[in-house]
Amino acid sequence: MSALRARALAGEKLSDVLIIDFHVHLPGPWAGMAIPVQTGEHMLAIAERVGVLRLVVFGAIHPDLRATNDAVAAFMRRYPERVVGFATLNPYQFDMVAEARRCFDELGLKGVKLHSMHEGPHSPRPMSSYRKEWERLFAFLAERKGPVIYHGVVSEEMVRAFPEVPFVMAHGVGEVQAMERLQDCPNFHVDTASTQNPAWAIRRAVSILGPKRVLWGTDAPLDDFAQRLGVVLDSGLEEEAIRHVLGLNAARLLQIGGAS
Amino acid sequence: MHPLEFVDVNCAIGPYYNPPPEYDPSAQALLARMDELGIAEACPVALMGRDYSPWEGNLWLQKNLPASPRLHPVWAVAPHYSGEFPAPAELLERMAAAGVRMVRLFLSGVLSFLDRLDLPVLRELFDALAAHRVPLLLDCYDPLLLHAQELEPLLSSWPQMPVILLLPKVVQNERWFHYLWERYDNLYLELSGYQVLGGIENICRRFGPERLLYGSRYPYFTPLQSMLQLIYSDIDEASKKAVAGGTARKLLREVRL
Repeated sequence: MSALRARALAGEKLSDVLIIDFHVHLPGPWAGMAIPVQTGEHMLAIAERVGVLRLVVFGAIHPDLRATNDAVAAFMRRYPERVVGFATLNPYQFDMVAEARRCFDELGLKGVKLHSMHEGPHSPRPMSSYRKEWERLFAFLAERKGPVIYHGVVSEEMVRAFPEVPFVMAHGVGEVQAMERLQDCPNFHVDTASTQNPAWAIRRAVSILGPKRVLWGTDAPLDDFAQRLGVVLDSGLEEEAIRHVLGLNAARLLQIGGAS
Repeated sequence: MHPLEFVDVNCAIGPYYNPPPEYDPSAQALLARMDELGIAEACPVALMGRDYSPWEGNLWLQKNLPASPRLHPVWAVAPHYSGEFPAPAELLERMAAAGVRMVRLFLSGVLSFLDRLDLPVLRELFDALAAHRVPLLLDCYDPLLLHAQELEPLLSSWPQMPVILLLPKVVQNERWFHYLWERYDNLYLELSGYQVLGGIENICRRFGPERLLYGSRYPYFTPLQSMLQLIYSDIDEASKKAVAGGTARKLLREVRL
């Protein structure tokens, strides 16, 4: 049995392993399910038990995204060593570049989350029709070296058009076709989030993209840190690859210590 | 290694229509995984019972599951009216002869034997199972198929039958399970699909640890993931023991066949 897996089975906090969760939502009400963890502090305490050092946090699905961006920034200000805040953007609500600039320059947020749930049957126009908005946003992110984590919305063409922007496909370890199509793009990454992504999907993602473009994400507080840790620890990957997935890759994208 | 005695109530073996990579369908492979991770006992069903025929799956399991105090065979169940499955009296006799003390009902959409909890056609079966206190694993591939309006008649009509929900994930209808937990002692939830952060602590605090049972959804998921969820949870050791295997063992002990 691998040493990391044995230590986790003993309930040990994996403090010596750099663990960064790249996919975390700010706790609060959630229409799609009841979430017992309702505060950022409660979530950080649970992460601490497992040994998750840092969390990339963005807003909930909220009708007022500016307010949720402000709340993420406030959370990051309270815990600057543990929280990396990302802005959530949506062209239906505002000029995305103006809001991204506000989030980066005034709030200190470090990246962007885009979510397909902003588009629904009653949306006035499809997200794809905001092409110029997207191009302006990615040009801004290229200038700031800001990563973007996306759930739907971003096309293969956009990933290729902005090679300076690190793109992270949320839940992407389950998206075999996307991984195969974008295998040759070094700025394309996937995360491990989703209750339905099994351990073998992590191994498959690493076999397609290599160990440096798969990032550990949990979707907390919707999902449990320890559950999703188990998926990586029992993926059958070598320990070095596991360490890249659990934190080294995220540290590199976020330009924080511990990256290789 | 952990000090908990895990009993996996959600695992399956045998031929699999769309298997995970490197899948070994044998009982020996399951036992090897149990040994590797320190799982004491398991309650496997034959996957064939979901994807092909409940009764053929049971026959496959009877033939291929070695006798072991660590393995508790689980049979798939179905209504008998079409002649594809034994009538309840015969089923119970054959279960007793084969040492089967837990059953599983698959509700898996158009390709499964049943696509919903259709109580009129299940009444005679549930009467027989409840009379012997046989736990029912209710495996619902689409979590939105089950709401209080489906579950309340089941729980209230057969209070002697423990109902253990196996769901792929928790969605909004889990809110109504809380309503049911307040009213019915025979409702349980298996862990592998209950991945919400702080969920174990919340259910244990509000309804007691005996409402949750460890399960893995092997072979699709690794057994490690819900093991770690429980190991790292912020509940006391006695509660962890109950969730890991204590309650499953109690339910198996209480069967009268």
